[in-house]
Amino acid sequence: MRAAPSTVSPLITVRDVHFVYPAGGGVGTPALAGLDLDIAPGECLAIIGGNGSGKSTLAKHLNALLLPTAGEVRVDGRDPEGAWLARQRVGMVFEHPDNQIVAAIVEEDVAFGCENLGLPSAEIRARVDRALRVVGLEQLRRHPPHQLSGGQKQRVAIAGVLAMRPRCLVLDEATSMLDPLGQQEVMEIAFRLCRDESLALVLITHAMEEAARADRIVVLAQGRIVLQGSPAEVFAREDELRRLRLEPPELVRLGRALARDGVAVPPGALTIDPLVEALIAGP
Amino acid sequence: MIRCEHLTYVYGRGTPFEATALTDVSLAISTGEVVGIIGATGSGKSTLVQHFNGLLRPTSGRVLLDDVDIHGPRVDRRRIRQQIGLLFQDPEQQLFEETVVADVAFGPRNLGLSDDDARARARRALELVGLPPDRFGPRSPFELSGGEMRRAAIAGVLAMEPRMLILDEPAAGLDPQGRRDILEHVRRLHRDGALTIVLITHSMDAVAQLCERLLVLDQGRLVADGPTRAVFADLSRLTALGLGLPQVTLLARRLGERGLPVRRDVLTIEEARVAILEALAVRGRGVL
Amino acid sequence: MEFFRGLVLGQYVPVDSAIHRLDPRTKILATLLLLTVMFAVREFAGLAILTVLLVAVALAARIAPAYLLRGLRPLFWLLVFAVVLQVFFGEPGGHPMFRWGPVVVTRENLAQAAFYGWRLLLLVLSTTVMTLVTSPMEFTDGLERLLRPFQRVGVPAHDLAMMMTIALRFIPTLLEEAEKIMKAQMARGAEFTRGSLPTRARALTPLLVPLFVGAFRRADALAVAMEARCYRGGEHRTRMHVLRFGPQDLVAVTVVAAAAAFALIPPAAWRGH
Repeated sequence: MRAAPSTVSPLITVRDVHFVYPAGGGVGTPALAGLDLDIAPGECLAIIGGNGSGKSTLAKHLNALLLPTAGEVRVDGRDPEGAWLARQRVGMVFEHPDNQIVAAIVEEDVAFGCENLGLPSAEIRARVDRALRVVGLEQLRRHPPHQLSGGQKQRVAIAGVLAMRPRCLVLDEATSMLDPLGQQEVMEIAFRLCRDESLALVLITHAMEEAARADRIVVLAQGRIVLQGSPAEVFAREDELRRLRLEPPELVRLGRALARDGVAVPPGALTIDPLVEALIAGP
Repeated sequence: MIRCEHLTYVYGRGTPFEATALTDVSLAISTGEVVGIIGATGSGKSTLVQHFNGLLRPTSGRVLLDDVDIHGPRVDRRRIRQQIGLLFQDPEQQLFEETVVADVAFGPRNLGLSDDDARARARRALELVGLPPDRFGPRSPFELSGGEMRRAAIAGVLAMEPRMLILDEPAAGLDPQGRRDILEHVRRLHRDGALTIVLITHSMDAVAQLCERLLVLDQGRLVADGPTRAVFADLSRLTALGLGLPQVTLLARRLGERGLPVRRDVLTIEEARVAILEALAVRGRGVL
Repeated sequence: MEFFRGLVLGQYVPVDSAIHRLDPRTKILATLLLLTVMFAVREFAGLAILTVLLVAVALAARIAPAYLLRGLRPLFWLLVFAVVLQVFFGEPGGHPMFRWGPVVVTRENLAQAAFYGWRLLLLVLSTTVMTLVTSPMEFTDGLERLLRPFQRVGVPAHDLAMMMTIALRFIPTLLEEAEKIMKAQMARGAEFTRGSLPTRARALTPLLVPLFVGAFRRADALAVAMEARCYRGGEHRTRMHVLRFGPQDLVAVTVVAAAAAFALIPPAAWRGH
């Protein structure tokens, strides 16, 4: 686990942010209600919460797709009003693979962001080639996206973000429409980028097994942070999580059941590997 | 109830995009079963179930409902579709009426029922999926939350009063509570409504909890058909097909490989707990 | 895509051929030239020359002739209709061939019908061939470049091209969605292919409402996704692919222009040679 984020200056700061969706006619319900959050460079943060808890609204504030009704968001110390800088620094991959691919050819889509940045042709070419290599899609560069699997489409989207050289990657339920193989493809790439290229990773997810692999988990409900800490700390609060429409991952529940039976399962054994080790080594 | 005999399906015939979606699939599903269909994306799961209610016509082979060929002469297609209820993935996309109750009544109205009868059926179906008709019936389907929309869409098929319900990824995209709710409703429909259930899903944990029997498809071929436990016991094959195992089954496997004698066919947390405790006790005695 | 498998027009087939590799501007200009010439041609000989040229292009692009003909199938009834119209209601006078009640079929009208039918076929064939050998992306790129000089007089070249790109990108997706919704409603007992015309039109509501709702949802999501990738319209935007007009393009343009010129020369002039 990484050092506490307070030791380095944060990449993104969210301060007392409120957001109300403009509603037709009446006053809209607040989607964010006074939220504070720091995201450190290179950290892996999971944001979880039930449907309608404000996760996606928060995500859209991280790169100025939405601007707070009150409060402020800073990216790299700067106020991203005007939005541009924030969107280059903070890349985003969305839930529906089909609704974010613009071009009818893979590599053209990967180039889209760089083209918007106004980079010279040769530079774009080099960045696109590298991004496709990183996500392992060189072979499919000339294919039309609608022939790709869901996992491949999301990798295209990640490549498009990478080519813009961001410092943070936000995956907004990016694996929820994928099959297990696709989920695995996307998560392996995301975790690798976080580890090797010190890209901060923000996972907004309903998949508790994915959240278990993060450095830190933030739990949202009704637009507020109601719980946060290491995965071990957060998943230890099973009853509270259930009230929030969530639950710890299966293996965590199994580990806790065994611990109650007197088996020595350390609270940090959240995923399969440490759990196997603990049970093999145990008394 | 449903039987497929040597079912083969080729789409896009005569175009550069021609492809075989199903090859020589034979299977039978009996009344009252809960069957899971698993397979990687593009393995033909959705194509297969679209043959069950006659939406697709086999290129060769037959599909029989109660021993009658559903593409035979004098077979009423609507009657087939009434008996075999099919929900596609993201079924909330099919909602179109101004109110929830009118939308759910769409199916029964198509069956020729009177407005009153159709509405009565719609109200019963909404009750079944946990959307009290007095509260949800008059609302616009587009105002519902994601999970509620999903359940309204399921009600739209239940209102046809089918004997079999086919669901394609019914819990995808929902939060953990939403997933639990949907699966619980499906379980109840089977138990109380005596519905035959066919569940297509990528969630191995869901099939482990719900299904007694699994069909495994790979590139349009039926490669396994048997009790859930037995299919999951055949690990090497499943991973080769790009499928996972339920988390607890995988854990039991890994422990076994490391020398802890845990039963390998566990499917639920509780079974895994018992199996691991037993194995630890055996090892404990061995050491003493 | 079960319900749309007859659709060939607008389907790019990715093959590597000399024709596929041409600059899209060449392909667009050549097609425009051919379409213009088709309307200007007055003689069968002209149509024959254009037909030979199109067949040659299709062969060079390695398009299976059977596939091309399949694409013409949906057009069959339109063709029959146009020909019948011409035969029965064409210019009066001329040499009557046979008479059927008040209707007189003349040799002139029959020839005219054959001519119009052939021309209609060529119009569709040439646009089909173009879409088969030009990827939608290349097409919009080419169009944007060709329109750029007109930007000064207020033609929104970039916006048009972006709209086309997105439309082309989403056609397959929306077709798939339409098919899925149609099947989902059929599973609820809906019928789309039976009954009188008004009944059928009414039956489309359960298809069209979800399709529009879905399309708007997609459009919203796509707009957000594009903004997230720093899109702000055409200004300051550069492109990865820079189009290059090469020697092979010059050859292609020359060949097409020559064929067009020959097609326009009246047969009388041929005999004069």
